[in-house]
Amino acid sequence: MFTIKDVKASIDEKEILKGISLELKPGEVHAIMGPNGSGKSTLAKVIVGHPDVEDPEGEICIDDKNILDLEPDERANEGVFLAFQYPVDIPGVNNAEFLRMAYNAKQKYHGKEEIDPFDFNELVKDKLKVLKMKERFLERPVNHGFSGGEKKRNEILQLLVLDPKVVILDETDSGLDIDSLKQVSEAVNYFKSQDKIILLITHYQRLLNYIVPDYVHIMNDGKVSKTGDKSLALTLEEKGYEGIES
Amino acid sequence: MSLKEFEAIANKEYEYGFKTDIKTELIEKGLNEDVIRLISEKNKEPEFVLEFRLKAYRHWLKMEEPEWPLVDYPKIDYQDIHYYAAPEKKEKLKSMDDVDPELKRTFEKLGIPLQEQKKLANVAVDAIFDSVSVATTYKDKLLKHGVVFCPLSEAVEKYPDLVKKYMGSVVPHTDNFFAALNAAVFTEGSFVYVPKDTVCPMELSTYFRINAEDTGQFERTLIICEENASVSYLEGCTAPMFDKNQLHAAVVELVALDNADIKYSTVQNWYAGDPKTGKGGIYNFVTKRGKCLGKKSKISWTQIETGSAITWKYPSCILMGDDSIGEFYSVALTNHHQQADTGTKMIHIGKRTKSTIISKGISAGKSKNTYRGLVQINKSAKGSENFTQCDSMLIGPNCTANTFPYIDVRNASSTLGHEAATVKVSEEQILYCQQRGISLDDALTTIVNGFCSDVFKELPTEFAVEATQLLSLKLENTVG
Amino acid sequence: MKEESQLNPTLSSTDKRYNFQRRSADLFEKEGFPTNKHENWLYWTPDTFQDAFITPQIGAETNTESNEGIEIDNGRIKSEGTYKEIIVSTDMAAYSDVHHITNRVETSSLSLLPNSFFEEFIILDIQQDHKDPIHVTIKAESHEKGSVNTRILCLVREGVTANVVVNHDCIQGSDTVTNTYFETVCFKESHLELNQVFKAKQNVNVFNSSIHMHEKASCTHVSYTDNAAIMRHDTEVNFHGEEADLKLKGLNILSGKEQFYNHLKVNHHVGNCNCFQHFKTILTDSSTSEFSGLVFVEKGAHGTDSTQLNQNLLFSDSARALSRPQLRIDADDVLCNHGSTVGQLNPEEIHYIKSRGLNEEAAKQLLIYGFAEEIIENIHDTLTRETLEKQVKQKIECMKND
Repeated sequence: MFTIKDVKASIDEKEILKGISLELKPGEVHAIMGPNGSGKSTLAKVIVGHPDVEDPEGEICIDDKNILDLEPDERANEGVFLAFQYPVDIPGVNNAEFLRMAYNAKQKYHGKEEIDPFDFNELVKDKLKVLKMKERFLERPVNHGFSGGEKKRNEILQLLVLDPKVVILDETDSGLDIDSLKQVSEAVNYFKSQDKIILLITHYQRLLNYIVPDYVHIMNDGKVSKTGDKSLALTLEEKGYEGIES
Repeated sequence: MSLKEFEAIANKEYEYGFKTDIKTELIEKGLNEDVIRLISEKNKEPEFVLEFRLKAYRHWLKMEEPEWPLVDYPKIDYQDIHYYAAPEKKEKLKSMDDVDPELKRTFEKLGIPLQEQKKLANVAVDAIFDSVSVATTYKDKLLKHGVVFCPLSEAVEKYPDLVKKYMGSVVPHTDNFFAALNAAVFTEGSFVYVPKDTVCPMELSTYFRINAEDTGQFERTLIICEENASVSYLEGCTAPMFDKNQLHAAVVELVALDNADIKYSTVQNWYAGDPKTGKGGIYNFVTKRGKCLGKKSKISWTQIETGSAITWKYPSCILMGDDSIGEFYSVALTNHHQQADTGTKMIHIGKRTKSTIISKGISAGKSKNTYRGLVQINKSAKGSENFTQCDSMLIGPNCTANTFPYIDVRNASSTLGHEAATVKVSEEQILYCQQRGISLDDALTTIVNGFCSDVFKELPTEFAVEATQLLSLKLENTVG
Repeated sequence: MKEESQLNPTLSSTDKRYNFQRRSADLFEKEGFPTNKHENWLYWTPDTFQDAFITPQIGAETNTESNEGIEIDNGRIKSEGTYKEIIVSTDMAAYSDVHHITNRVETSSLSLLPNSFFEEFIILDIQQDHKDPIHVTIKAESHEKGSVNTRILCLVREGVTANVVVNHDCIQGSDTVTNTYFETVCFKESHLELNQVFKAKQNVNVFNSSIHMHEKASCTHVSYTDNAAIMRHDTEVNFHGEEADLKLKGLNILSGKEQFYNHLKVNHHVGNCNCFQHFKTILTDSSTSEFSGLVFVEKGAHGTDSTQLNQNLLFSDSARALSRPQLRIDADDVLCNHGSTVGQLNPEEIHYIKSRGLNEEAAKQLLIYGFAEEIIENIHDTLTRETLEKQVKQKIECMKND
């Protein structure tokens, strides 16, 4: 269970989120849609603990644990994973090593044994196969010199390896060609089948052709203005954000 | 916690700051011709070495301390330093078993085993404690291959012709103030000779330890690689924590003949002074230079500079032989009150000579980090090439990073490219790592290590891991 | 004296002027001529010209005919031009509210001399938009031993857009030197395009330039040097207000025994300013070029974006290219790059052009021209640009004949 309770947040002294509440159950896919500036990206920032967000109010709970006061890395280790809209590159840091560091950080957090490079390699290789990615990919520096599509697929690889409870995809469909989009969707649907909680943040309906949401929330001016099922997204596509509000 | 509030919190203790309690034989503080004669006598040196010393001393008296480096320190009183300090010993060592157990323990503690076949199984070590060499491992095994690896004092005795021929041939005593001082009072250092057509079968390493208070360390290293020979050499250093600054003015000379290949790596971790007050620490004023005398010879410097209160050093290459190659790979990390003015000189004289410079400077805390480098391509060096890249990373608002290249090209068939950039650890990078579960400290270390990866990969594998760990130690609690 | 000055306003102006000149001279006296002990004077020092530098030529006449535009002859205004948007003045006291009247640029003590010896403190006060070029000719013509000192203050007032083309024309005897101090102030939200073209026939030419950038001001400064035995440029840039943008571009083509020493210091006192510096030199024969640029980002000047590029084409084994692009950074949130190259034309590019039917010579000329054009193309005024392009072409063709 992932609950967002009356969350308010400001950036640069401007209130962006004005009280958002959502409740997401395992195995559910929720889509958050909204025009530019509606606050949907800020919601992702609040959840992961982005330093730009000033003194957020409310509660964000995984099961019954409030994570809003935790450091970003602690939140991640509690099971929150954000697939970034613009994944950051880290020159000189090997992708495989980075992944293993992240994996071991989580193991350690939960008091489990850290994994050695050989066993880890086996684990990653399996995931690479799922994503039809080449092993060479692991030897490159994190996101450095990656194409837009490669970056997004790298996010999904991390997602599969780190196996979180809550998955947030922030505009993951932007900049993706159709093949990559299908692969990403497959991975997400697999996660849904594993009883994970999935939150899609998207501007367009396109991604929802591949990942069918259980709920669609429309955000406007820092609040959820409408909630419905997948048909809401289609209505939105047809009428636009303005049409749906009236 | 936010990167906006970068503040250097300095509380990680220097790991190697302990002092070994051992009886030390000292020559009275101060410097004059009698002291030099005494040092020479203690080392049982032949006449030519004493003359070399005295000539240098007389020249040094006429010289002035350089003021151009961008470092500040109070004037050094050269009469307030012991120029010789040695742990007392009875007789000449016959085997490793004769080494004072207290000294053995000291080096164990520093991670340098003096027993062969220990942790670093494929590395021969010369351990130098203050002014004398305590032990050299694998000497006999190396000699079977014709490779000489011994303390300089022993080389003076056993191979005087080689020493006479090459000592001072790369760094003359007139070169600079600290090189002249070293030539006058040098005490110990390592000597390496690799004969023709020989690949040195193992890594050679010298480990320097300053222990006695108020002493300077003035070691002198000489490495000669004959035709078609090659060697990889590593230098490591630590010192105890004292409130007073200590002077380390070493000279390193490398000579590479035709097709010879010398790789010289340094992991420098001298005591950097008190993190909070900047009190104490080593003044590391070192002259390192290699001469590519032969055709197609190659000299490659790799340095990881993390310690010292002040670092002043420019490992250089004089590319005389046609088609010779010079390389310089450097990571210089300064934190707290540290100051570093370091870089290289590449002097192209032979035809088609090539040089590469990769320098990564990281400044944190209130430190000052300067890259200073000269690339000079002479008229005779037709068809030569240089590529230089020096990047700086600044962590926190109170540090300084400088880049001062000097470029001088004098012929129309050579090419030179220099680029420099500042790199910032971005909030986004840190958050990205944290979002994947990696802690703030680890995130910073990871990003900095990535920044330095081009240099780390030049280190012998045994030491690459050590360097990475050292860096993370030095950076701990830098972001808060 | 004091009483008199109260009665006579012109005398108070003289007073202010006198104090300024006295102070400049005192500072010079204290510091003296540069020697090669100074980092900025390693390769040429004015030793044999010292006398000339401190012997100002007062009241020297030129025989040249008047051009259109503003004309300054041997340090004095000869013609004020006909631009109604500009006030041309020599009344220093009337401009005491301008805080940027400086005595020197940091890299050169010689810059104190025009401030000590000027005959007129010439102010070009651009008060309204003038998008067509304002032509300024600065002439130095003298055959006697001594120095021609020119002091100019160019103000671009708040919000004003202006285009200024300055032609420096020097004809001298063997013992004459020119020493010019050109100060530019770009006030808030002003836009300036400033082109400086140097043509000198002989000898030693010293040009000191001090540029002040205020909030949201933008300036493109293009300089071109042609023919001078010894040319020394010292430029100091100060960013006083945020979000200012300065582009400094320079091209020098050197032949014979010409020497060009170009020193630049950029001070980012405040953050969020952009500065792009791009200097190119083409060297032939026994010429020497030195570029020394220091970008200094002060503590707290976050968001600075500064790039420095120095590119040299070196075509002779007797020529020498020296380059020192330097960074000094005391702030951690900045974007600073510099690069320096010394080399020749790319053989692959030559080959490519030859494969399109041009011969080797033509291919090379085309590439050299392309190298130069990257600087010249920054001049927006068509006439000025085309004139320069023609000159550069001719110069490159001459190189072939050598």
